[in-house]
Amino acid sequence: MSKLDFHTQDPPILEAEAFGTLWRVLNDFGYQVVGPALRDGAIRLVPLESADDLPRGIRDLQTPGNYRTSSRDDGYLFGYSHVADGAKRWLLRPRTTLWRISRRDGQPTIEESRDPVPKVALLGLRACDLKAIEILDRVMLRESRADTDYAECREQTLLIAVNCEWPSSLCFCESMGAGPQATGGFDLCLTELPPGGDRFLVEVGSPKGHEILSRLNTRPATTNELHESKKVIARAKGSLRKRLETRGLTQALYSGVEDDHWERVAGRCFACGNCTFSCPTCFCCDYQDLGEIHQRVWDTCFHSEFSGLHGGAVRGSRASKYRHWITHKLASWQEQFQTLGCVGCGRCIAWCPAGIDLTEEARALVGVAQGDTK
Amino acid sequence: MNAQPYRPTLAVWKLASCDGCQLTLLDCEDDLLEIAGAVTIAHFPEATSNKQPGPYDISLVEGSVANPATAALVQQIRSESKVVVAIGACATSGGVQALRNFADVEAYKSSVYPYPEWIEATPDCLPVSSFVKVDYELRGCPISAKQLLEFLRAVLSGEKPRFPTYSVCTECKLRGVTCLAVSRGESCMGPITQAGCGALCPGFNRGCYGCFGPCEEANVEAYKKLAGAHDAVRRLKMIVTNFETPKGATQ
Repeated sequence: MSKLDFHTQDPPILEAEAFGTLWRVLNDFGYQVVGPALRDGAIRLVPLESADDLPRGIRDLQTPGNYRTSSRDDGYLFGYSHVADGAKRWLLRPRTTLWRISRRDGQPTIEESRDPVPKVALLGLRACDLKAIEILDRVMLRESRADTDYAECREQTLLIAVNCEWPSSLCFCESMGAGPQATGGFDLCLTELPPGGDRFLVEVGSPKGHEILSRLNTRPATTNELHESKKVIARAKGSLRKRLETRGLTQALYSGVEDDHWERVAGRCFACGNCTFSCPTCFCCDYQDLGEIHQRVWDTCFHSEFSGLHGGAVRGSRASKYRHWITHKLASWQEQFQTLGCVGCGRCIAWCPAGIDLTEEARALVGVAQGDTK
Repeated sequence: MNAQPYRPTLAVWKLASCDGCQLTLLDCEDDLLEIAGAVTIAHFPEATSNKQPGPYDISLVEGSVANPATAALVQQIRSESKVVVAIGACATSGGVQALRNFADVEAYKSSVYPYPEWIEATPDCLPVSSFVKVDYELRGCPISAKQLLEFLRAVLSGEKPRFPTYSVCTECKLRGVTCLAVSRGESCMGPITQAGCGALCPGFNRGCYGCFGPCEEANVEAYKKLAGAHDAVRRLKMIVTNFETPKGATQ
């Protein structure tokens, strides 16, 4: 099979034992496996020693401001909606050193001094996570101003998706055109077949993915298995309950700038920024000098310093901060990056301590624009 | 180079307090040696009996003003120091002993001490800033060693020190601590508490109890909803009484 053939083949089946060898194969290629595991009450993206670390038989339950896990009575390894923190933490690192300044022969000297970039295989990404990476790429890899650290992290990262079969009640990926089925942007993509944990259908998305797959012990899929894989994705699609109506949204947000609805949101909002930190596409960073080192650190438009100018913050109130965030994410992002900034993962809703639901706020604003009585 | 570079003088003072913030400075160990190399430690009774007279370039003040003696001392510190830095919850907002501001100090005195007439306690226990101009405040119970070191580094190199005005949530998210409020229903005070501790308590799976005091624009009403009536009252007492004594509560 030549390198170009991989798209044309029927995806093969990886059985449990061969799936377990994925770790050794990825290690041979120099990758550390980073995937889902239960940590401190949430399914997080963390380094995994083996398939035993995966959250077998665990599901997540999400409502606004609430996240819990519970056990499910089957053997699914990926039987949850998505990891609590997306791939962003591994690609756009929360705090990273960029350069350092020192005095050499009496002269100040600037040297690039970046934290080592780990070579990782991110396992278990959902379609929404892949879409988020695509959006982050647009932002962070713009030709004239690509971010060096992001570019290198991206270069060193292998993406192994697992199709989403278990959306949470807060997921609305379909209305954002982001899921639930992964259609590209991955090196490998698995579909976990029922009853879970013993058979995975494997699609290849890149030459690298093909190279890795060729080292794994697979067998051809039966017609029934191909059918099953379609069925589980269709079921996931059918289970999506939430939607974000994007029609008329940009206009509603722009025309609602002065609406008193923002004050009502502000009454509930902490301006803690958890929505932005949990969001897989929010990319804002601050650049800080700590003595001789210069660091890039996650920032958020919910901090007053974010819009700080001489004499104070442009957006000091919670109302203006929330308005800024949602208007950027769901309107002006489009003009800036030719896509909206939302993939419908619902993380901002679940991880908001106040349980503020961006789809509800967007709906309310559209209602205001259309003259609904409040 | 023959001429010794000028080393600013540092003084460390104690008012009504437990000494924990001063100990934070001593606990800096290796970094303390670096500080000692950059400054002349002129007054630090907790560490050395060698006391040099003022004036001092930088004074770190721990503790709250609780009696006439500390009220006089705080005036002396101000007059002898270029920069006055209040360190810790006691010095910045009164501390745990400020609970008496909401009770009758005479009743407290008689129930605690066998000879209450020997105790010279003012009715209110107040932060340093209620008496003199304070140049900087380092919050926390105790203060964060990391924040103290970064503050001293900045001040000594002529930079404007950075203090976060945002909440502890940012520090949890940067560290990758799973949100205790969302994942466990914990009445964590992180969303309304100023950052600076590095998410110390949540990092050990304990909800924030607000020792850094309220953050800018703390949404207390939203917190009451988050924590539920019972827990909110219990926790808000901590942030309101211990760490946010109303300034000028005394005459």
